[in-house]
Amino acid sequence: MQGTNRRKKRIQAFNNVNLTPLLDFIVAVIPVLLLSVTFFDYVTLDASLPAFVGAESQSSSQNSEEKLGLTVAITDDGFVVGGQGGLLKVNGGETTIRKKATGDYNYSSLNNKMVEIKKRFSKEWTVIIVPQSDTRFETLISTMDATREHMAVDASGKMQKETLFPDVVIGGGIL
Amino acid sequence: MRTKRKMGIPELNITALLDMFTMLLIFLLINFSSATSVNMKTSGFITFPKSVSDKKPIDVLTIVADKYNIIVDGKIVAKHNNGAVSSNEMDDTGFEIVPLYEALVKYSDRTKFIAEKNKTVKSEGKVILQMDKDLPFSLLRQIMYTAGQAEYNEFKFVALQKSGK
Repeated sequence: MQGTNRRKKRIQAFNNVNLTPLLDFIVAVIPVLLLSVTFFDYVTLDASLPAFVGAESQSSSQNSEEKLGLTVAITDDGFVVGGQGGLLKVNGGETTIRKKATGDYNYSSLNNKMVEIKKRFSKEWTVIIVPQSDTRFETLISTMDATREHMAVDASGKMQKETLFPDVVIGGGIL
Repeated sequence: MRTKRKMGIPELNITALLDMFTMLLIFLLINFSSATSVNMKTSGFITFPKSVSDKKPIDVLTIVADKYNIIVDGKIVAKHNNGAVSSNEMDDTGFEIVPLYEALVKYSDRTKFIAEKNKTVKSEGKVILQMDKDLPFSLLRQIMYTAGQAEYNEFKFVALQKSGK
């Protein structure tokens, strides 16, 4: 009441627009929006069973000459990368991409190996991941990340995503 | 302006506050529209792994394996102890979790039944799998095997998006 009386006295009403209703509205709306905001996003990673993709890749492999059958095994020591007819050798004859000194799996090294393999077999999309019985789910997810795509900075300084092997088949695992 | 002080009740200058609120409102509205449309059922006893994947979840049947339970579409079907399901809930092969199989078959039959009547519904054999990041692969293998027996062949593992690098 006092406010309106005061405003009547003042001729230049626009100097003092009553913002209180607007403020009321905004204060009511903000909590609603805050509640509905998700501060993290769920994402999914695709994987399939061996038999299912087996049938699919058989038909597609008939017209491609080279069949890779890329396999990444997760062991206690690190990753063992294999293909049809042998294991990949890293660092002078060794077949295991060893864990880092900290005890973490060396995902970046695996990722770089995948890039090399992708250059040679550009039409291959499938990777078979074979974890151990006690491999943690988090390790599996990170391995799938490392084999799926590679992020690199191109000449113009932009981050480029290169797709490597997005079709993941989860192998039976070492019992 | 100064003269107002004589009136007794000082008037607050809320313009700056309003400026801030307006900006906050716009920011929240933008976030609101980009929020995931799929409403995921999840469990409180679960820590998601992080991933750089950018695929959004789809609206299909959800299996949750949290720290203690295996949950299908919001109902607990089996319990496990650090990834080990009690042996009387497993079948003879040691791979199939029987109560999980029964629950999944029920859902797959229901989806097939609806798909017969309603052409927009398809039974594609896709299933979302939410799993705690510390659970061992042995449990995942049992769940995947069981789901495979119930004609769910494609899995979508749920992770939280890792922001940046």
